[in-house]
Amino acid sequence: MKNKISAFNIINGVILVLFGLICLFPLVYELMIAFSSKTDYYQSNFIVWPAHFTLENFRYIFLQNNIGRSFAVSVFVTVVGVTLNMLLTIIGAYALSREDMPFKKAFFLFVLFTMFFGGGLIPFYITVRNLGLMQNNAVSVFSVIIPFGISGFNMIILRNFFRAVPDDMIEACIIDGASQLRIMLGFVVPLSKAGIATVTLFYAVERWNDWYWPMLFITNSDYAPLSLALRNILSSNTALDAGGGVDSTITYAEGQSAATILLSILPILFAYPFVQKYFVRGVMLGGIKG
Amino acid sequence: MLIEGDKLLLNLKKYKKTGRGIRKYWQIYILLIPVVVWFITFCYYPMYGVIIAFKDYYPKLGIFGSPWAGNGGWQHFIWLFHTTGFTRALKNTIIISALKLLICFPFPIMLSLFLNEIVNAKLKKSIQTAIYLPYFISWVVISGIVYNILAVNGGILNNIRLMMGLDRVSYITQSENFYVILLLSEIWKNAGWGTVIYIAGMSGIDPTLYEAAEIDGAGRFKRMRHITVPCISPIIITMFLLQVGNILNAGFDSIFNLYNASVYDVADILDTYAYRIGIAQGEVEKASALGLFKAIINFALLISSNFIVKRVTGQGLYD
Repeated sequence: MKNKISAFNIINGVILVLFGLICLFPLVYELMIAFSSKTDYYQSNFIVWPAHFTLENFRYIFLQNNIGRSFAVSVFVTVVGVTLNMLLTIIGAYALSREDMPFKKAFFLFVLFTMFFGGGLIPFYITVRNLGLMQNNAVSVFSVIIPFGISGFNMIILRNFFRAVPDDMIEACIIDGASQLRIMLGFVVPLSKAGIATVTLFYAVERWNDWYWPMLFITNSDYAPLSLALRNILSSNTALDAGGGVDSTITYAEGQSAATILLSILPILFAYPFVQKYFVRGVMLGGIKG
Repeated sequence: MLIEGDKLLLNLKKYKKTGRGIRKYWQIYILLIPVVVWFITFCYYPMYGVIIAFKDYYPKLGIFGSPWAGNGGWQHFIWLFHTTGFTRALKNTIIISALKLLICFPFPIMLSLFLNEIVNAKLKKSIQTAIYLPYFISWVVISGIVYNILAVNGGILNNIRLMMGLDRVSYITQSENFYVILLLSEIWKNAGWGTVIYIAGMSGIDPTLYEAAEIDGAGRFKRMRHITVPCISPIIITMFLLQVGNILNAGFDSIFNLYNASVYDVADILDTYAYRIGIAQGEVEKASALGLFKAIINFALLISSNFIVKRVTGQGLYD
């Protein structure tokens, strides 16, 4: 009996480890391509191996595709966007978490309805355009920040965290004469650090990875965030004649896209080990509870 | 008369209570103004904008000033239901959603059942770290990786084919491969993360249930089937209904990044079709009509699935 169980354990472990490796493999594969030269890639028999290790692919995307600038745009969009997201979401979530606040129910339905029904692509597009956010200049960066100020789902996740703050603690604050603003900022928010972290991270990933709305709203490629720049590189997918100090016999289209891919997942890879636990907790406390 | 008076008093009390509440929360109400303005501007105003679907839109005249479309405003819907592009997109949307429900939906459940059986906590944690990661990678990146893996020259799959003495194949331009590519990448990205909710449910199961079953001589699979699965079945049902409610959302991001003109016949869904007629071809009224059609059916599906979830689990999705 014991033997049978351990045999199961081994097989089970092996299969799951294998699945884990499959999840990581494509990223390792891109790593190899990004640092390989043209010869390594086109003469590969099985897996591309960077026998002639090179940084030429990275140099190409920085010099020719201005990837450094796109990276900066992405950082700006993420930092400013998430700040706005959190300001609006905290206020909304706090209001939703106060049971005795008049019109709370109405506000909840007001938010909930937007999660079930939407105007669709075109009316939204026209709204953003009519607001003057789609310009051929730096203003267009805000077209992928302001219209995405709130996610109803994240607001409800945060509300669930705020609800977990004990009521009698808040009552004690009120007796001490604290205003609602004080209670929210000085008490409920600091006590919900895990929730704030979770929702911040959800927003950050969303802002960082967003490519669709930038594709629609940011027409000037000078202000394209990294994800959009990557899409443009992928869809053109032809290595232009290299110039400006890049060796065209070494760099190649697939290598350039792999280098851009690595660059765009780098922040996620860096942050991921530290923030993973927050994501998991967020889902557990999130809207979808069994 | 007395009853009337009581009612009046009660109402008065209610108003007083509301008044007191408003005074208590006045700062919050002021702070809520930008939140409400945001929702009105970016959620409710576009809802009003759907009337474009019934108009011939001239940007200069605005949504309100533009004339109504022919056939009592229904012109664009009539066009929609008569075009093969739409019927094809609707068909593909339902096929892809059904395939996802059939193949991608059970995957995380199986995965979490087996993950739950791993005794070594460190190993479990490492596997979880690895399988959650792809969820945070965007579809643009994933499509780039898929293109690299399937590349005709230098892609690992074609390299293996060459090693086996087969010819190179251009996978991404063949319609018959599209669903396989789509579903596999979907599983790669989402299956690991999908386990989180089930694992969370499993961690809440009373361990004495397992101990009792073990004493009764129930083996591992028996315990899985008779304890773990029934305990997480409310979550499974909820997730299933949620996905059924979203059947018209076959996944714009994944398809838009993975498809190309040579696989439109199987890959074009409502969202990608709306994008192409609305944004690429500038037929905003037709795309709005399609969007409205989708939004209404979607709304009905989501409301009904939420209703059933409430019936089954005693709690709505967002209560």
